[in-house]
Amino acid sequence: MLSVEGLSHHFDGVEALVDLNLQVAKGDVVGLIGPNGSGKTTLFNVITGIYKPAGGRIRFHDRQISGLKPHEIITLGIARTFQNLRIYKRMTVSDNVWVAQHSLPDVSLKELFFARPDKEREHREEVERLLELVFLAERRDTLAQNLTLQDQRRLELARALARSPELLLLDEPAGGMTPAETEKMAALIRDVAVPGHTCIIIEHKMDMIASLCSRICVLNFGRKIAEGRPDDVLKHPQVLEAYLGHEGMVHA
Amino acid sequence: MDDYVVSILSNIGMISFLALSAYLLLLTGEISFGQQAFFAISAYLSGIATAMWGWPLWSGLLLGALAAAAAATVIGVLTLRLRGLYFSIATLAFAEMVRLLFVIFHYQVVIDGEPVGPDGAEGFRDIRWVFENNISVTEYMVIIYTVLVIVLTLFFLLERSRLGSIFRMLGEDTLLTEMQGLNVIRFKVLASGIAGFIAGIGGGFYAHFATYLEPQNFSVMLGVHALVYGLIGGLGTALGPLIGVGLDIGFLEAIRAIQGYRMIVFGGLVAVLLIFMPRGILDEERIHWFRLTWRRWRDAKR
Repeated sequence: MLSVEGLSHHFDGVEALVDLNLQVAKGDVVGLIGPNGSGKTTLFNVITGIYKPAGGRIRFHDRQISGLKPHEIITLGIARTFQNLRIYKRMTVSDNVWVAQHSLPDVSLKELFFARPDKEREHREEVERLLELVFLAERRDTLAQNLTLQDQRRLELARALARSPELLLLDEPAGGMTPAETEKMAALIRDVAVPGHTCIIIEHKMDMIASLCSRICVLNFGRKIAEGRPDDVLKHPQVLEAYLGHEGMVHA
Repeated sequence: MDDYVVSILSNIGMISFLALSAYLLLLTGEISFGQQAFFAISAYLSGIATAMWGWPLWSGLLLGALAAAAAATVIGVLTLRLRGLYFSIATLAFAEMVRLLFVIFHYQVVIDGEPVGPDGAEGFRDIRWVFENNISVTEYMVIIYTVLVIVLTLFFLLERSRLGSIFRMLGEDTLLTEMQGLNVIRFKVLASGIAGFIAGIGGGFYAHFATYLEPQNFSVMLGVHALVYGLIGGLGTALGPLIGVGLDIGFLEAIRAIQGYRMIVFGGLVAVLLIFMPRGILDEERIHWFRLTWRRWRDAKR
């Protein structure tokens, strides 16, 4: 479904991604791990067109998407969340999900001005269903800025799901959460995000990654240093070195 | 009503269009210091249409507003790729350019032995359609407010539509909005065009109210005021900019006792408000609270 081929990107001479290859098939749940600054979020930004890659290409369903504009890429069926959490803070919880729905490509120009009541009702019902899924139905009329961090991350997930994407890119969905909250988030992702979607998940919390992902890809300084089943990859010497440093590995 | 009150009220009405124009761009997250340029373009063009070409007022207004919308669209295409401060400076530069172009703009015809038309820095005299058609100042004020109510109604409908929510999405987070699959530049240009049209309506009314235009009327201060009206009145509703206009022109300018100190009081008021209410009196949070309270009250009554 998604095929990353020889992808390179750099910022002012700093190599962020180097000759990266990654194949994601329909239904895969791929964990993307690596130390801070190893290029994980950069990869998401290149996939979604925020950065134009310096080299290589990305294909989505046999169509080359590298070089397309962000909104064109997104419209093909990709949704994402953000490491630094982006929501519409001054909108209500339900509007946050609703706006993601109504910017779907099947909304016509006329509907920009005049909503169709039947479709509108359908959308609002879908919003309600998604809010139930992520346990935010009670807070539907709260301004998003007044939610806790945990709830804001859930809201982001609901918003991404609202676009019925084929490919879901989750960037640290449990970032900043306590272990208990992380466990809940992992369960939520397992229950609502994984079924029916192909996912790539960036996360530092190894338990979560190991429990959710069928495959893990490890980046370090923009290069892929390991890929495979979670059990194997997490024992890989280069992975241990990247995470714990050389001395850490000796003790481990 | 005495003429002084009528002229103050008419002023509030006409400047409200300009304030709504700047407010629309504020909604999409853009700070424009140049909306007075579209006000000016329409003022001149609609004045030319009625005074020189003999058009009726309504078609002159429409022509002016459409020209302003076209200009705003072109400027939008050129400048909206710039971000934040760079966009603001570009709009400022454009507006000054327009004003200076009117200083050197000469286009006159002779009507009844008298030259009529824009005469550069000398200004554009005798835009007399309102007097020639025996419309009293009070009647003219009623016309202004009728159109204002129509525009405001359309504005409220716009805010409730998808397009309106897209404008608010842009104002909150452009990147996130792009990640919802929307072509953000296109929507920003559209907002700019609509804003130009609204400013244009005000400009057309102004030309026929003042009967005399000179480039100096359309200085940066006019644009800065228009911008500040939305910021103090509040960005949560289209009533916000109108509150701003009412506060400045209706309250500060109308009270003769503080007339000499108007700008000082106004500046102080803006500073205080922006510290304690950064998004104005009727900001999104207050509007949200009003909405919830209203809904609860309505549901309780059932």
